Amino acid sequence: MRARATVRAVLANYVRRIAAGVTLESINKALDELVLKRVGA
Amino acid sequence: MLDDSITISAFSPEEKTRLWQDFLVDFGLANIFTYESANHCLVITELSGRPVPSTPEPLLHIARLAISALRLVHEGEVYAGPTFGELLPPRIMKPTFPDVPYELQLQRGPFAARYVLKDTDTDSVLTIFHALRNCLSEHKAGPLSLALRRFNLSYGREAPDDQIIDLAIALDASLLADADRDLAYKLLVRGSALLAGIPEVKEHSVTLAALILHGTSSCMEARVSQISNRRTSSRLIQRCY
Repeated sequence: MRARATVRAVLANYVRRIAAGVTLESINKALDELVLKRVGA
Repeated sequence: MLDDSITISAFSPEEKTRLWQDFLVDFGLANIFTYESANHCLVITELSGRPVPSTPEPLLHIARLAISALRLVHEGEVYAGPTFGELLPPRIMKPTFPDVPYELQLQRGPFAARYVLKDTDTDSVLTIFHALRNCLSEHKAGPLSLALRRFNLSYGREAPDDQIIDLAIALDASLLADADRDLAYKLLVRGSALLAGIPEVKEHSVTLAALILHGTSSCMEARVSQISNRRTSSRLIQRCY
């Protein structure tokens, strides 16, 4: 199931980052900033 | 070996036979699981030197972490909850193998592909298991508790729609945990940004977003319509239960 593969990848990514001491909120904030940076905003 | 007390090991043919015979004798599970489905065993020999716990909770917590780790590494289903629950009280006092106080049979779930654990998976399973241990305390819900719970629940759903709802809630609880507006947009861009470096799922991030936003069946379309109209994501779907 492709949808599950995607969610699996998302959660594994979060789990690794949170275990390294990063908060969920700061991960999402960083993702927002990354997107803004890429689109040049 | 997950740590100094927990191991995932393959059954030898003799162990498999003995374990299966015990199941038949003790619980009569022959009609529930096939013989071939049991090919790995999660062995908990001791909990960090502590004595046998009076409640199953520490064991169940470790079992949940181990199964979640296996599911997060690659596709396929491992499943041990009901078996573990059935077996726990007698098995604590009466181990199947003389040198193994506890064991969990990892089985194929009823609705998913068989899980094949390879030697090359060892590092990934270890990494995720220890990361999960850091993220999820036995007594306190972590930031990813809901997401992981719904991800795990999706394995037990038969209908694709139900699976999608669980997976959507898992995404909501992670990618949209701190968002209260522009949910569809944030789901798409955050998901794509997070998965951008993973080639095998790069196209899936768009697929899933499209799946959730546009729906794949009449059942989902009704819910998706609510999502679009009311600016909510799967939180709304959750209320439909």
